[in-house]
Amino acid sequence: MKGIRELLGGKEGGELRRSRTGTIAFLLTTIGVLLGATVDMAFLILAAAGIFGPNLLREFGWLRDRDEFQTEAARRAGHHAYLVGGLFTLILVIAREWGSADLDDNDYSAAIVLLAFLVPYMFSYLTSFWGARKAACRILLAFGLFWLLFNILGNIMNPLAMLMQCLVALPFFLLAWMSGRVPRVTGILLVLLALFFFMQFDMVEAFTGERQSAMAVILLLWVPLVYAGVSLLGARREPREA
Amino acid sequence: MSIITNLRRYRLAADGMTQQELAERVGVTRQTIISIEKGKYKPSVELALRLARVFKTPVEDLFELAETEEIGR
Repeated sequence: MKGIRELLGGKEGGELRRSRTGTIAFLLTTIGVLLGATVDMAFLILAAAGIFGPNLLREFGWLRDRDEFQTEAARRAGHHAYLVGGLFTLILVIAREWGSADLDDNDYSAAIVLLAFLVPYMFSYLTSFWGARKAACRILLAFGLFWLLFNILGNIMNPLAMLMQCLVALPFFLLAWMSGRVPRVTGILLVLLALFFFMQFDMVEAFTGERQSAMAVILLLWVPLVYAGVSLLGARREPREA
Repeated sequence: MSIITNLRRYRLAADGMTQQELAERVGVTRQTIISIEKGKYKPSVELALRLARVFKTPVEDLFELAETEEIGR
């Protein structure tokens, strides 16, 4: 991580040095947009790295080039971006799908827009409010309980199938128990579990358009798992909750 | 809740220390010092303590609650 800090500038020894982050981000974004518009859309990944990369690095604590005033300004800007971006995107979907009565099976899916904004917001809020360990524990408990509830209701006439299906909830309860005790190990397991789900259930098809319904699964299941896992990986630095 | 800041008075009393010098001593940007002095930004407890340490004064001499504020409501 020292390499990233040296490349981008940032905070060293308690003092803020002039950061090169803005220049690098601007160059990446400009090159990405130019190549995306003239050669191939795939080059927009460079623009994505320029736009979101610095804040991702800051979020993980790998880049410390802002003081508390700048951090607060950035958080306020992020909140406003959430409000304006969410409203704008939803209004766009409403306008494009005006007259239809389907939240999901459209070119512009209202369900995905709502989930894409609400799920990260909710989990970020819960993690800030409860702390990473308690939030991850409760998220995993909720997953396990939902799984149990749906399987009990779905297999009410078949007790053996119900019992077998309910066993699937056990790893969630185990991970919930582990998250308060060994947060980093649980974080790694959650990220690996999320990768396994992504590969096993061909979730990449959600992005290629072959199976749009998988996007809801990604937002409802995959994103919370990754979010809980990544926040647990950084949980060691925070004091243990009472 | 409004806070009265005496930071500028203390800074100028300290041999006319510049905002940039103060910013470097507490590890923030000059814009942050400007915003605190103008009352646009309330510093964290950590930064307030660091500022107080620079001027060798209690933190409540640098920042105080406005008299109209009622505590405990």
